[in-house]
Amino acid sequence: MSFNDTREDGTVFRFLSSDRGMALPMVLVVIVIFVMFSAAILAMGLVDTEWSVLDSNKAQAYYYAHSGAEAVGSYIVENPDNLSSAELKKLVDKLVEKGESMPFKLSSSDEGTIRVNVTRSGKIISIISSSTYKGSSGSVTLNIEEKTAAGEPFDKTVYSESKLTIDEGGRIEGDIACLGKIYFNNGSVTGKVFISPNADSSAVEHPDWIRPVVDRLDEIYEYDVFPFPDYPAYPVGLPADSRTLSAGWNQTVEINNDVYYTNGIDVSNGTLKIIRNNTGRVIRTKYLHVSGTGQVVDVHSGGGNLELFIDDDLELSNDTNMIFNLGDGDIIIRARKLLLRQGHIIVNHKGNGRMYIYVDDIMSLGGSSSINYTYNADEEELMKRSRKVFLYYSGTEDENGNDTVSTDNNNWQSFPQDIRIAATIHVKEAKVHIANGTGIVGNLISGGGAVKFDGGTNTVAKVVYAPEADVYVSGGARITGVIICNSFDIKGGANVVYDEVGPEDMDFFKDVAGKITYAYGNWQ
Amino acid sequence: MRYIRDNGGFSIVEILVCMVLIGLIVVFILPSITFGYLQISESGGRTRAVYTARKVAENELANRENSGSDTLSITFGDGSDRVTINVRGRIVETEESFGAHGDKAKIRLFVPNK
Repeated sequence: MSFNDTREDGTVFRFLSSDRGMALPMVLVVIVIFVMFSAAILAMGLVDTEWSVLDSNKAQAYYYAHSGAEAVGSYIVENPDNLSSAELKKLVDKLVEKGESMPFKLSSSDEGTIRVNVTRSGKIISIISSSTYKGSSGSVTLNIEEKTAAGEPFDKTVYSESKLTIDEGGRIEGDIACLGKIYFNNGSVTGKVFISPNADSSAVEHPDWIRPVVDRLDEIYEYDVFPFPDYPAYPVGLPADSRTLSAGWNQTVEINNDVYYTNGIDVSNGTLKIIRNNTGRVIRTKYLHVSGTGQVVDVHSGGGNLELFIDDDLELSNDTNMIFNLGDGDIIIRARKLLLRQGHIIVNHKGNGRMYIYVDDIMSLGGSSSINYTYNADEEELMKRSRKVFLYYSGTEDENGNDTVSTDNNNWQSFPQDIRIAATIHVKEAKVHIANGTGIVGNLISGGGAVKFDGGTNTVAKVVYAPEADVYVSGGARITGVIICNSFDIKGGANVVYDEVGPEDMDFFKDVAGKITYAYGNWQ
Repeated sequence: MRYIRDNGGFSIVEILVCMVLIGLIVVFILPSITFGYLQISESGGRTRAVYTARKVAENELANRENSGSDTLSITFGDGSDRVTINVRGRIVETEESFGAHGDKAKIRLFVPNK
């Protein structure tokens, strides 16, 4: 055959049929096409089958993994064995500590193996379950949220973890609870005495003439250490002024702009006005000393924040005042040292803003100093004011360099000499001593090892929250509110009076105090 | 016949070779195509069956009951300090047939009691 061959009729059929030997090439071409087609179909079929088998195995591996996570998750969340809140939390902590489980199967005939790993990130418990089945693997993560249900945990006047002692005329009005031993030597409790759910009456020791009404707790509540906040960072890049800003006798000086006084501010017998001009104001200074008849006045306008950063000490002496107008913006003060030597931080409440005072190293209070306190307000009004002012202290030494953290010495972070504070006070780790007629209104939170009230002090604290601390109340001290502590000791005619904790204060503690519950989160 | 004879287009050898080749196609290639097609069809059936089984499994998980009598024991750690939790529930096996030979796609899972 030749492709140059031409015919008069020109049809393909004729062309093909008239040439000898044409059928064989045609059949070969058809065979090649068929071979390619069949190879493609065969390959597609085999690959498709392989993938569908793989997909099937992957699905099975996934459901094995899902089974592991679902089983552990349901056990924690639904608590089928009715473990107490504390037991369940202990179990969860143990699972987290142990890490990955031993490999297991749904039944001995199953080919797939499952492993479950329980991890924690804050309040999120992650159950990571992985499995293998016929060479395929699957993995799922079920997140569970750990929640603290507030409410009942604050229905006792005193809730002590390890020990509770009532002696020398100490009096507690309301119920008390202790998971360890309770010693009545000479004192009274007007309410019930609650012991651990598993304890018997020997948990309460008392002389015959004292007849406490003993009951068992239904639940054991958890009281975590209240997280201490991160302090706001000292601002950088502010316009620097290297002069010492001084307000001398009858002088008035003003700060109208954001500024950094690198050589400090002295207000002695004069007035320093901080003018806000309807905006936020950021001031940093090496120190701020107010003495003589000096005063600092915040001329507030607008809803911006006032931020005052002091590299070294904020010292108020000689009955001097810092007067702040708390509008809808916040007032933030950070100082390395807060020295109130008969000084007063006065706060006029005009909006919904809050004041935060952060003290890094030294807090020395004395001489009838005050923070956010007014003698014109009744207790309820003072309590309201206290919810808007927060005093944080992270120091570990007193002004003389004595360690105030160790429970082996007698050095304390003191609130002495008739000082008055209406604020939520949060001390990170130092021992706290409320002494010498001091009056505090507001929640007192301690992460330290001891809190002591004595010397006729009057603390109207909604909650004294010191779950790690041994609390001592003596010397005629009076506390109104609820005390959460590690151990409690009352004597010397002191008394503690129960005061109901309302929703607003309850909400403040909702993340740390109460019954631990677990709720399903998301699958990943 | 006259048409072929007139044009002399096929020799007997040619025809024989072609018939052999066509025979080869029938014997070897067509079964491959058929096999490939069946494989595709079967994998499609398997995928459908797995999907249906998964649907049933999800339904079981979504509608948990409290009637399971199986126990899944999970042990964390080893030695004397290990922790074992025993979870009651049901081992569920969902099964779906597919293909001409009645093959089955299975999903086994544990559904804890509600």
